[in-house]
Amino acid sequence: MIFNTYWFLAFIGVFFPVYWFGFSRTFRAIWLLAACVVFQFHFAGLVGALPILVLGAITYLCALSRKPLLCAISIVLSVLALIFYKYTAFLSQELLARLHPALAGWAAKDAARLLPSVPPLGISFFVFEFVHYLVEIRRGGEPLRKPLDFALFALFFPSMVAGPIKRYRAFSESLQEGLPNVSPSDVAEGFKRLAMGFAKKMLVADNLTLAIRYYEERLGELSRGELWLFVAALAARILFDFSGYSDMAIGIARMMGIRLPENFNYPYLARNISDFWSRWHISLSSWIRDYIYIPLGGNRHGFARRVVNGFVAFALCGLWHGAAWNFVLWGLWHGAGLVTQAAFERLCGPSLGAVLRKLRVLSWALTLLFVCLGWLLFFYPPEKAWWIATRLFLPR
Amino acid sequence: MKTAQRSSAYFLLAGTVLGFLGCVFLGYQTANYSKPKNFKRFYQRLSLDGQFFPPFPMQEHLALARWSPGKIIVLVGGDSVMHGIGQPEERIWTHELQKRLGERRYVVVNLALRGANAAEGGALVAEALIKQGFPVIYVANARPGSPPPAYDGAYRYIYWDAFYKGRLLPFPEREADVAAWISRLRPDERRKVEELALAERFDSLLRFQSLWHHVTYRHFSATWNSIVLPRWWEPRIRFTDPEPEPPPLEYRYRASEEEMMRIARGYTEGLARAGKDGVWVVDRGALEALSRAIPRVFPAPLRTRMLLILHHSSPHYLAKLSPAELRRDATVYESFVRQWNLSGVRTFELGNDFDEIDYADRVHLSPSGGSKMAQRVAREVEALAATELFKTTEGGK
Repeated sequence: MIFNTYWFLAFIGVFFPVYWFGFSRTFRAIWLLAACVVFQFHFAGLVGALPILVLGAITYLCALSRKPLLCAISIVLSVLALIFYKYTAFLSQELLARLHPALAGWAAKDAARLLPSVPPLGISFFVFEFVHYLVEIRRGGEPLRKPLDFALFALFFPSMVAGPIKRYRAFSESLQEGLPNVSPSDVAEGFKRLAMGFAKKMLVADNLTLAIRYYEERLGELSRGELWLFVAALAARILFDFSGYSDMAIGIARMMGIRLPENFNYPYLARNISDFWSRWHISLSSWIRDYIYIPLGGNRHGFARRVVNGFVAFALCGLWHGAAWNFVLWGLWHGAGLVTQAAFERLCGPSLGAVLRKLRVLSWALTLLFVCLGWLLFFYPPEKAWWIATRLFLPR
Repeated sequence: MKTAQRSSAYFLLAGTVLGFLGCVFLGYQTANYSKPKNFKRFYQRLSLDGQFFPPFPMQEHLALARWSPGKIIVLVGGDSVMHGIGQPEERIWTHELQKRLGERRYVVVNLALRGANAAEGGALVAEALIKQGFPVIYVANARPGSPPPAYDGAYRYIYWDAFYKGRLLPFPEREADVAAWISRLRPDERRKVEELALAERFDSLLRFQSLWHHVTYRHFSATWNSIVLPRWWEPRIRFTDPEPEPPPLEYRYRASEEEMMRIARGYTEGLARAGKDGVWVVDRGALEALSRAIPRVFPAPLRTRMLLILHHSSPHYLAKLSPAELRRDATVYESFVRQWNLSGVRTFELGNDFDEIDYADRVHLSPSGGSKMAQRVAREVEALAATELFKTTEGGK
């Protein structure tokens, strides 16, 4: 967590007054970029910042050329960088070791020697934003011509660590509008959002984390009711933690007069899985829809293809969250949920489907139950998740 | 509409600024008086285990709470042995010490913290009081070996807290050591230390720690904690010191014998080697390291006002050491006591003539052991108080 460090407090304490009282748009833009660079170097160090700067430069130049081949090469480079920094260990230990042990041994030893101890800060977000940008340019979009505009899109510090994942057109427009016109209302609204995010994160999520850590060592001693409460705490913790972080990012940006996309919209009120994904980590789910699911064919080539596409998209969505099988399984769990939902609607036909849609409380409860059980896969290895799940339902 | 929006934004921002300044004001107010009621020691619910980090001003207030001109403050620091683990609150050794020394001339305050070393916590409070001219005798414990510094332990926040509030004596040697230590840290560890230092630097301006701990102690806690379950939100003032009487002797030494013996041996193992004639020779390097460390860890004015106890493990375990190991223990303790004394710190051994019943476990003293410690410490305190050092301050500050 970067936003609740004293360093960050000092950082924004210096940054904002200069930004607000900056005399021109250009001055504010340069000051903001300087702040982004300081932020990146402070938290990621030179080793972490360099790959991002290099990838950013390649992305900028390739997009500027507007040549589809160069954009495609740049996309491949970005994705390879993500795989290298985030997934080398996972791929070598979990996949390659089974197919080609010698190669896996090389990857584990020699490639790992090249890797920093932690992946570059926010690399998953950077790569997704670069890929989005390059794909849009390939599709005929207008590139950001000024290096300053692109650098601000790439390095914008509020969204650097945990999103939301930005879209370059919307961000660029907001930047053009916000930089010269930051108003007291923006500052006040942003501050309210920032305070809300802090409260969600520090008062709710961090306390739940302490309680969860304590009880997860004593799961065997919990009654079934307490175990249900434990699962509810897991679900509440990730929502308050992640949405709190997004609120802080959105709030800080708004205090600069810049609007970031919303990332959460009461996801636990969703009444089916597709509804859940239109409310949970919205910037990621829409990215996956636009740049994985639809390019794979989406729901345009029949039900079977739709099922396969959904599973692929969700498996990748799971893997994006972390390099481990439980994240893949969590993605597949949601993929299965979406397929079940689609199949159910097909099987029931329009009239029964309409009736079921009217049973709002039931559909909400089933969706919430499905999502909460999914969090077990997200947080624990499959065996432990299964162990907890069985104790939720079966007598001891 | 826009004007209304604008004025509501100004109200919110002005309210935020005023609220913030109000909190800072309250922080300064609480820093001037806030301290636990009827304080005996920082028991578990007022400690790091309970997510309670007593701020430096609170510790200073506790040290001065019962002081009046003409009295000497006997400030107890060090670890859980001095804290009084094994002794329930009403039979804690520092009560006995106060009784033996009398109320007329002495005020005994127990600021020892579980897991702290002699240079942490109480030592820094003693240093701050000495800087202000108060008559202080600092009592702490250690084991043979070099004393770890105050800036690199579980309680390092106290050092940074005191440092940035300008409470410590000028001590260039320590500051040079801190700078060298930070430069040697791994980047992630260095960032943690820098973050802590920055937090304390902020606190020296804003006093949020004092306000926060005052609220946690008096009004409510906002941090979940297993130590105070199930009422974790309740103010700490509602929780009592839970330290029980030690169990009867036959149930007392139940911890893994092998592990306990390893620790008991470890006190002197590696600090001496056996000579040809079976005589133990203390490692000169260790003694030299100690003589170099003492003046870099404890400032000179504190060293002359300090009593250090080198404590032994329980005889339950010492009795199981071989004769050679016992001779090594004796040689090492004697040499280290001598070296501490040569460095200007009055030091003595404690526990080697105690009985099994005087210990609550391998290292902590039972009420009877605490009483023996109080007796010995009282004698040493009176001897130190009779020196010239305290004659000049008697009757004044």
